[in-house]
Amino acid sequence: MAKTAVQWVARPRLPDDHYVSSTIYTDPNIFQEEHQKIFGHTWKFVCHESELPLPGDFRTVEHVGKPLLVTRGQNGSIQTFFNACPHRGAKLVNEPRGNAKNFTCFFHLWSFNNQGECVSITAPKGYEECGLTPKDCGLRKVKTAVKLGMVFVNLDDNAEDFEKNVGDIMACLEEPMGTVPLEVFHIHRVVMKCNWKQWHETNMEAYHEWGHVVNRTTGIVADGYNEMLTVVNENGHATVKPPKPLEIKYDKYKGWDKREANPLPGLTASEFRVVDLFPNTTIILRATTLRIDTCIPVAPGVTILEQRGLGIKGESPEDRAERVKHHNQYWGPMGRNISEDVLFVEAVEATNRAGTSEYGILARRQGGKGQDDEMMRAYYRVWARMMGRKASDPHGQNS
Amino acid sequence: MKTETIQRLIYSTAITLDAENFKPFLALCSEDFHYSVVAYSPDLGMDMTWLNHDRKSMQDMLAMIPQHVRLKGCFKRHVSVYFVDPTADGQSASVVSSVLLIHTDSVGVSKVFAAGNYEDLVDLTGDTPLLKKRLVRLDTRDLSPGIHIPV
Repeated sequence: MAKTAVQWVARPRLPDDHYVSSTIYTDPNIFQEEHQKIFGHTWKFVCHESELPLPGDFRTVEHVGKPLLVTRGQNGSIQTFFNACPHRGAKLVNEPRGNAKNFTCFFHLWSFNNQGECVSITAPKGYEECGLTPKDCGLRKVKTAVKLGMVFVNLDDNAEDFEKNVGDIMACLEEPMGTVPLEVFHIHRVVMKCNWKQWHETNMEAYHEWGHVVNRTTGIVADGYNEMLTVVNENGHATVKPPKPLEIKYDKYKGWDKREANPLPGLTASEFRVVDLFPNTTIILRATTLRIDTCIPVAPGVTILEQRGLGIKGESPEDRAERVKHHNQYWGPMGRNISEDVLFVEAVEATNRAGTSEYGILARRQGGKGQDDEMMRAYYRVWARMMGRKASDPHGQNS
Repeated sequence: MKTETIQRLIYSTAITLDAENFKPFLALCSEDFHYSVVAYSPDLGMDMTWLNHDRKSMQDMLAMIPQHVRLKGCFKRHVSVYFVDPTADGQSASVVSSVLLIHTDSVGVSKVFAAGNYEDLVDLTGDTPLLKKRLVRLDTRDLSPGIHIPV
């Protein structure tokens, strides 16, 4: 039966953690609060170490709108700084990548080494009277961790150690990502009209696989698919554990091969694995290829998706071409799935923004297996803890 | 073969793709047709390959398109042929064109979706020219929300 206006806004007759209010996606105050309470304290993937392979290499990246400079020092260690000159605030480095021992601000020519130390001030005599010297003018360092080649940052100097925070949730990635050197062969970005959490939901919620012709023909039919167990730790990081390696039937999609040859280390032919890191990074392995995606929240309804594809460093051109092909079949901007996911989340955002949706239902239960929504429920329990608000009732109207 | 005939082939590929008439499009391509899309990544300092198909895999991909969830509206390829350079033996010609892919949504709003070049190789050995190889070199890297059909 269709609902009246009153019935439409009434709380679902479900447990609190089985639905979310659509205002968590649209409220600008919640969006700002997320910057402070979530992104100010959580670990965020920013790049892969292969993007800065040599001493002196650097990358410029962005985290919740903050420009960051990631450098590899002469000793090989990776460090991150605000990409901002401490003198007058100009963006210090304006190229996406490069190699430099020192960075010189183009505004007043102050210089910094790749350890973040100020090494020269233009016309320093002018500062002698007030006592300002280069040693007072270092860059703002950002806490950095490297795990399986992935570079993570945390804006909170006192944040929990990365390894402790993620626990063993990334164990399934250790052999494929930790035993051979990997390198990024693909980066693309998509400006999406959706809230950042919506994108991460697509990576946690398996039920929407019915919407993808690829998944409903190759994935849902895989042996053990409905037995894969959702595993979520106390910090909202998640993975799935099938009773045996989940072998996707890639050749069920017209024109695709089985992906039996050249799987990543430790993976059986056609195997699928996924790890979702709170709040917005996902690593997906599909036999031969691997994707890391993360997103940059711009506004409540605007999000930049940033997606990488990786292969094995030094592999033959033929193997690389096969890996790139497999990557692109799903995930490139001309892949079969990514576009569909963007259209899905933008369709949800359109009704959320218009105020025609009140709630998102996360009530699917299959004993924590298969297409159970528990991964999303657990995610929003962590979100609620950090935000001090229930995702189902973020403004306390029903308390 | 006249330059105009070769230009007509290039424009015909655009018209057939605009109309999503994939069989007529493939009829304009040789049996050993190869199609790829690349874009340069400033982040990586190298080209990225986004699509790479021979004729058979292109046919398979096109056959599945009706089953996909896709961006509503239509695309128009605005193509300008810059150069037609026949090889010395007259067996083929390399053709460079610019292409603008314009998307018009279901309420009639048009926006530039992608910009780039076609770098084509045309087979001139038959009665009519056939597209033997197409490399699409995209300047645009944000193809929001993505596209299922060849550029």
